Amino acid sequence: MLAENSVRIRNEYCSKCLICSSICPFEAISIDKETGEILLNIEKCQVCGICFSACPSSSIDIAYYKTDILSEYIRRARKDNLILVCRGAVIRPELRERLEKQGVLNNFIQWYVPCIGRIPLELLLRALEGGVKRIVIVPCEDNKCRFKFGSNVGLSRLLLLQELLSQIGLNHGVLSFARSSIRAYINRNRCIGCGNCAYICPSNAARLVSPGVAEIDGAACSGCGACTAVCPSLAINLESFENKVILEEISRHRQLISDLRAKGLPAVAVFYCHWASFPALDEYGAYAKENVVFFEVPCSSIINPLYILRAFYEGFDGALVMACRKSECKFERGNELAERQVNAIKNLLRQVGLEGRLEICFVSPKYLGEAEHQIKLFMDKVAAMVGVSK
Amino acid sequence: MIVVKGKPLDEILSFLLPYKNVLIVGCDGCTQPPRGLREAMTYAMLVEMGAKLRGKTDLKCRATTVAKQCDNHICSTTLTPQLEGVDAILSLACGVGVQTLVEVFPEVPVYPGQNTTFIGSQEREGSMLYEKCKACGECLLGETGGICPITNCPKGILNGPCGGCVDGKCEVPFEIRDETGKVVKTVAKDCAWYLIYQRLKKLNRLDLFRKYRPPRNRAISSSPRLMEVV
Repeated sequence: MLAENSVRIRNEYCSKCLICSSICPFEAISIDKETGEILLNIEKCQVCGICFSACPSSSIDIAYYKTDILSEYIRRARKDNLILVCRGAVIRPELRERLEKQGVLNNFIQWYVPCIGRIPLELLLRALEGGVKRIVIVPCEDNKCRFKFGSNVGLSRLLLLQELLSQIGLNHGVLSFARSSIRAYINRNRCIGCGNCAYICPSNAARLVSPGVAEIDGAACSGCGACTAVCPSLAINLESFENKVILEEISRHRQLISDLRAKGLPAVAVFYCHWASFPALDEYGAYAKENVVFFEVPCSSIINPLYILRAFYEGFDGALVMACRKSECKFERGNELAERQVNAIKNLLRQVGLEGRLEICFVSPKYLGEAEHQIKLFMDKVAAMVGVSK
Repeated sequence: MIVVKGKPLDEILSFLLPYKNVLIVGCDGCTQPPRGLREAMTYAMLVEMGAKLRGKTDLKCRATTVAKQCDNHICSTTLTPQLEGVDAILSLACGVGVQTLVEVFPEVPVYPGQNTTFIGSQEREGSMLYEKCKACGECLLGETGGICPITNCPKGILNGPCGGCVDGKCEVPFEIRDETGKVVKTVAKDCAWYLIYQRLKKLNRLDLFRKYRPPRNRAISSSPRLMEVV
């Protein structure tokens, strides 16, 4: 097992304030009563990074989205506006329109971060110092944070920062935020009333109403997308992960695949739950260069047979689904649902003659290199199967 | 719900390989698991890929769905405009849907994509489908506390239980089979008449249990049946 953890507490710098332990949503941080050392239980940790951004003595180290790298990137990019969006949030058309009116949408950097609560104020200050004129933050809605209260923690800090900035004479517009979480929505004309969504929904947002048409309560929807995967009539879509968008994204790689074919390389599609692995800015680039194409999904339970079959249809030689580890799903049992779905698709592929080309693995960002390791294992397997050397 | 199970792809391909333009028709009606548009699209890709891997590259599939394949009017109005250039249809509905399509479009060959199994209900938690009704034509659920002995008892006896009921369990186990018919799992099953007894006792209607029922009139359920809608 690759054992290096992505979160580390450097006790030599620690001032023993215990903020991290009190703020951790998963109770993963404790203090050793005898030695006074701060201990991290990596099994409980879900790498939200809230402790990292809360630590006043910078003694917590986290491997992804490092402040230094991010602020250096912002400094070099020389953009006027910075938009930070939580992965669980979405910029809806209304919000986009508003941002456009404010002029934020020209000359900007947009980043998706795993949680707003893990962004240290230092990064924002450095960004302002580096020439950014306006920062817009889009966190998840109340009670929808994947890390329990990351969004709230992040927001209360931002309010504080806003206050401080106004004290030094910068106006409130410099730092603004708008909560908006990803939601599923239904095209009721297409619904056939099977009730699959109502059963599968982990947050009881979908229900079947008379006369046999489903309804989704947007306020309750947690945005996992499990309902879209079980909908037999493609009536349900998830904001920013619409079926059409994902399918087109898969088909977009047709050229790349034929180029790889010509070079004798197998092409592999990786559908990764964006909570299961955090390819940081730099790492992601490194992987994209190889013959691996990444498709981000909000939860592995959104994987439906169409995505996988479309990938094979377009010529991918293998498909890997990366889900969260057992009991770490941000939506209760999305990874279990995904496993069941994948097994059903495997059965179909076996009948076509594509046995062994689809795999599911369960990873966590807390062990460095775990996702990469799984991809490599799968690549080797596919390469051996396709019969070409890597 | 009419419970269906996908046919092995090899069988489907053996039907479709001689054709070039295949229309795959799902059914949004009562098939369980649902065989709607997504399933039709899934089958379209599976059939094309399967055909390619078997050396036939010019087979093209199009996917569509019908609100209710057992209704010839709906089938005719929905599908007629889509039949341009189609030389075979693969139906994902139950046997009723397949036969309806055959009657509506006598000039196009129609093939079944599913095996129709039984009328059943879905248990969500265990994702199991259970047979619940044999369509016998003279429902006696009113006398048996709502538990059907025709379906739930392997012998379908009307005055049970028989000698095969041991500790409330039936001597014949539930068998779960794969596509080829091989038994993959057997599950112990409660005796239907034991359950009926328990249920009637709870309802305080054991008098119904003591009632003698003469053999069923099998003429009522002899095939093919015909009925007038009134």
